[in-house]
Amino acid sequence: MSTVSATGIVVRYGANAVLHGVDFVANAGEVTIVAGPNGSGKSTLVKAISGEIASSGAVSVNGRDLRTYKGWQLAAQRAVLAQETTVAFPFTVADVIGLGLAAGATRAANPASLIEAALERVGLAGFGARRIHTLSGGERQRVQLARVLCQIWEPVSDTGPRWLIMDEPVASLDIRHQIALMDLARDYARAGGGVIAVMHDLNLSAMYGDHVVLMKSGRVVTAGRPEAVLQPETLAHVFACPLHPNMIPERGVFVLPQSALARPALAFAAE
Amino acid sequence: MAATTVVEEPAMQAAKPLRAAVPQMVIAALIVGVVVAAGISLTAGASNASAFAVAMHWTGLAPADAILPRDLLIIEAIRLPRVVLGLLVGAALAVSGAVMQGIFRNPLADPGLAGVSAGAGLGAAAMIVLGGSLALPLTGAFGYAALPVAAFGGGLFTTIVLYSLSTRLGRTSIATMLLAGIALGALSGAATGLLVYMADDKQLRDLTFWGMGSLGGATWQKIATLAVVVTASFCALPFMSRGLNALALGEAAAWHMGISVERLKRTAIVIVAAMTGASVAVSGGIGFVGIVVPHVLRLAIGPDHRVLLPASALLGGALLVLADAVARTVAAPAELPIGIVTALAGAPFFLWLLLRRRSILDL
Repeated sequence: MSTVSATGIVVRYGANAVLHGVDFVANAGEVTIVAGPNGSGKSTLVKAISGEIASSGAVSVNGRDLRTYKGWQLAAQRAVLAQETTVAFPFTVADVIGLGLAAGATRAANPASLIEAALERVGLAGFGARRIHTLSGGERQRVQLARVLCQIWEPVSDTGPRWLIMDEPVASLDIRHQIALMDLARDYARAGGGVIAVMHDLNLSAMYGDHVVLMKSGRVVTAGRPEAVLQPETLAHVFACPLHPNMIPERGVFVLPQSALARPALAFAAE
Repeated sequence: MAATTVVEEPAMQAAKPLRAAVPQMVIAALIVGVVVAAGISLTAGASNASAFAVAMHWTGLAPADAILPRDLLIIEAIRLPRVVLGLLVGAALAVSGAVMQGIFRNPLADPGLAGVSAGAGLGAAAMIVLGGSLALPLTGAFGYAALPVAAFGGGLFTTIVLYSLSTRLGRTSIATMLLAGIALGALSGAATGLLVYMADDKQLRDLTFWGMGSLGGATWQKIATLAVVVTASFCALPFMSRGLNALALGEAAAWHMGISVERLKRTAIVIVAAMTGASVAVSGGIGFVGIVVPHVLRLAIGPDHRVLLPASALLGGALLVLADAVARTVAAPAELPIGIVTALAGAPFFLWLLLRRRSILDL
């Protein structure tokens, strides 16, 4: 079974429940996007799925209960990119990426060239010897992406597809690198791996998502193809904000705030 | 069973990067440094006994009557144990500092600053004062090792309290850690003061002698005790290095990379408490080795714990042996407590570190 699935996930922080019995399925070969307003439980769901926090309910990766994986087995099957990762000591970029390589199952004949290949994939060729704290926020995030990629370099293993799990991965990136990261994620899925990403940008979600899960107040509101999920009533309910999804035939959907359509400037541009 | 795939990569690495050679060179230089420091310390002292002559005597290169029995005694029975003890204590303190900094993810974490040494000191003082009465069962059970065991207990207790106070939901606050360390250190100091107040004359002499921070009481028995603790702890280090490296990216990231973070932290806390406790038990409180040594090495060879930990052991040992040589010679024939020497050199360094990197405190 080439899925990451969760059933009846309940997570509590103290007295209040953050997730109230969430069901979730992501298929390998697809980019699955989890979207929703602040505090809807997106990140918590991803943490429960990746095993970072304990939850009541069942999570399985490739048909096997998450709890039966040993730490190194899980590390060989899925990698997790956080919104931000701070590095405590002045490691070099290559050192940081090497940590991912050491954690995964890929035994490169030449680790240095695999690290350089990963740096090229994230547009940081030649950065290997730099100290991580001399890089900008966006560059650091791309180094972390390269580290995570090295951990699960080949999208398919003989124990099933590998999984790239990302929590708001594009938050610190400019638009060019947002697109580059999402392209990379899509390529990973097309090559047989699975991608699960928490996203705020509905347009990137619509562009790159094969499957979009919309959450609100710790529950899944709806899930499915982006054009099916991103409907005006659903969006207005989930985000409590009037939004206008536009269908472009054969291209998909993009979402604008309702107010943007009322502005004269846009009306002028449309003429 | 995880899949192991082999990725064939073209051999594009024509020239090995220069950086890769540096750690080995630093380790080699440090080994030479340890030998030189030991030689200096064996030679330096109030008496003019020659370490060289003794070495000639040992190797049989000089006739047996070419050496004064007095010189042989000074070198073999007084200076040699001090040098060996200094190497062990220095290595234990520096590695404790490096491991603690790795676990707390901060270059300011140190057993001395964070109150662990004070906690170990309280344990040791309690054993000296109460060993014949309240703590008699412990004395009976452990004999000579009761003092190090008590110091270990005090250090372990302090480290666990410190960690649970300063870490919440996997995030360690360095400000809380340092402030909690001050409070725990003051509390331990007050309790130790109370014990001093209660002590009789003989206990007071023991306490004073021990509390000064000195390698002066070096005996082969103390060396053996410390050697057992240091050897056992060092055996665990190779298994911790990768975990400590991964932990630099945070507990969650380390866990996602397959590191059993909780086990790593538990092992590290026990190791730090054991080495600090044993060092404090044999030589009193010697400060700043654990913070200065790893920091200097991170500047020289980078923060990779696979190199940093052994390098810290070597540099810590060498520096402490040199500090002991200074302590024995500057006021000869009197002797300064070595803790004064390390504090005089280490405290200004620590202040410089603070001024240079104020942001690491993020109070």
